[in-house]
Amino acid sequence: MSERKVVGIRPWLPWPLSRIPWWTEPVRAERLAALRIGVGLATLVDVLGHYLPYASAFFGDSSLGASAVFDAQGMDQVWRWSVLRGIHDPTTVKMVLLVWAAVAAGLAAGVGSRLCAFAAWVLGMSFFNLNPFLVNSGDNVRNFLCFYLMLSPCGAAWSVDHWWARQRGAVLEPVFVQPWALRLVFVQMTVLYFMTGVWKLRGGWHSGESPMHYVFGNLGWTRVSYAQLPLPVWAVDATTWITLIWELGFPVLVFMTWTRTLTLWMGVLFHLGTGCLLQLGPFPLYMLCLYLPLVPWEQYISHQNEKAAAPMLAAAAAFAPAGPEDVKN
Amino acid sequence: MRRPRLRPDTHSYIHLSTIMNSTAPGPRPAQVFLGLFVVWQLTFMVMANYLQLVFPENLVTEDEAADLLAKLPPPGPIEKLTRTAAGCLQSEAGRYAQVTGQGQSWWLFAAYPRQSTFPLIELRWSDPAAFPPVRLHGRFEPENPNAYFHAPGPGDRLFHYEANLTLIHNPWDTERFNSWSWDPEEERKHAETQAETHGRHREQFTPDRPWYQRCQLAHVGDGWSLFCSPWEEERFRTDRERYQRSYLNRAREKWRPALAYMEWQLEQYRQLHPELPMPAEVILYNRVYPTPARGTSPWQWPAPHDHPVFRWHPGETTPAEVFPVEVYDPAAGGFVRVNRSKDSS
Repeated sequence: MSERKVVGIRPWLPWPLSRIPWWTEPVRAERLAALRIGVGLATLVDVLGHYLPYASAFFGDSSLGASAVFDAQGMDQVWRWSVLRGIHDPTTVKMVLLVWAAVAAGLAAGVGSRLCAFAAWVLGMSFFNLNPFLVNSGDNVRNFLCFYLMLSPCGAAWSVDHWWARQRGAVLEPVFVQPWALRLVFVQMTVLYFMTGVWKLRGGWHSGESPMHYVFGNLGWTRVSYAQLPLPVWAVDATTWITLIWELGFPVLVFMTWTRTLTLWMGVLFHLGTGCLLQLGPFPLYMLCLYLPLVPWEQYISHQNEKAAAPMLAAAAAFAPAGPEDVKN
Repeated sequence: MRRPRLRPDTHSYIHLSTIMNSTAPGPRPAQVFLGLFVVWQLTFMVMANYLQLVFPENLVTEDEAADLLAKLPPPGPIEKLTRTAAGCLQSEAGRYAQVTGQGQSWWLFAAYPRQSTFPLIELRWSDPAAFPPVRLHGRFEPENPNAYFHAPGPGDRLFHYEANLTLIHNPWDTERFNSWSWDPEEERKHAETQAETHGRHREQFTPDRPWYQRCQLAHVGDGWSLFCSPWEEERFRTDRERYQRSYLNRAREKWRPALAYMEWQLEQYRQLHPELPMPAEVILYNRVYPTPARGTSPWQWPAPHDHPVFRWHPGETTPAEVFPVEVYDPAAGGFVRVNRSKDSS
């Protein structure tokens, strides 16, 4: 019998959640770490690749997002908060963007992981509300992912924090985390796809008009002309129906074992495809982050390392008192 | 867990060791708080999405909501109460979403655009003979619609700005607008023509469907808009004044980013051409490329239409009670000044 270290607070869940192992059984910390690294890298690419080159055009005086543009539109300033309101100098904006990039890199590397997640959330929200014409749903995804990361022990594995703790002999391997944050992310992902399907249904996607025809034929949203990639009518119709059925069926398809892998791979391919074909900004990047915790990373961790560490871990486990958050295998 | 049994043969008491063995340590406050947070998050996700789906009238402007509700049967007292409660819940859930960054706006391409739209800026000088008008195209309008490549990168965010700008007013069919008539027969004929032009789905163009079934909600920037194009004529026909008011209200909400875009484009142009005087007028058009019908061969885009949206006179001082930009009013057929106050327009 071996000890396993579970990091983080175990939530007191009411029935029926308390009876469902999916909500209560700790999971390997690498799953949460993968999400943290993905969000950090996606944010880094977004800040350096999308925001910084146009910083002075997007924010500050005489820009598209000057304070007079979005501040006084009847927006509720209390709820649509931004710590950057009142910054007018473009150079200062660029400096803050560089800080955001550093925070994102810190999040990916796991240096002060939760603090970085908090800073990434604050800055992400602040820029989001500073110029809402620049954003799309991908930014919503980034914001809620940072929100969950800052509330959960996201630096428990694959992080500088974890490495440092291990140097001090303060952690046991393997590390587990309480699953609530990852479960909430997964539920949000399921709601996201399902509701997109429902809204598409309401928008007339089932009418036979083939909305994907209008998406592929849009000169602004597409990266290449439809004339350069002429798809047969049946293929365009097929993408319409596959998208609609996949989104509406996501909650069921992903819960059934025999359809789960295919469903998730379809999602990955869908986002890679839309990222290549459509001008969706960082949306595909952030959406792909949602898939990272679903990869069984623990299976890919080197068995050699675990074997090498086993005698030492067993010895450490024998002397380590079981804390209130420790769960026995 | 077995309940401790009382011993009737002696005094009623419970042995201390029984209590100690049977009482598990309760959850700590932090655990309870976290558990409640998890439950709240689940409730929030379901509630926020469900409410905006079932009660969309809470997401649009007052005029549009009134139009929407006017098409439904009059609500009974319970339904009225339900709608009011839903509105309150929706409002609170929306605030929570805003504060925490959990906006539940999941409708990518649900309201798919039937046209490609781009902003177009026209600079006009007071002496057109000396300085002919100059047109500044949107950064993402392709020179050749049949061959282009928008590389991923920095431009994607700017594209979103321009897209939000052109969604201010969903473009309408100018030809249709100009030929509006109140004759149902002509309505039907037009629907047939549209159906022939755009494919086999005649019902999409049939005015028999209630207008609210043909409208789509779309998320624009920080808010919602109800797009009914190309059937807004029905609203125009039934209540021209209300249509005009609703149209101008939309302009009222979006004029600031439009002016910022005009100023930004003008500044870029003036940096390249410092020798030119300040133009007398800057006009923002909505350039519209209709998407060819499905199965069109050879594939070719029709010529674009340019719809005027806003006009700005740089350097001009405007009265405090009106916007510094004029709004193109399709009903009036020209640019009009719009008062800042809704009541006075």
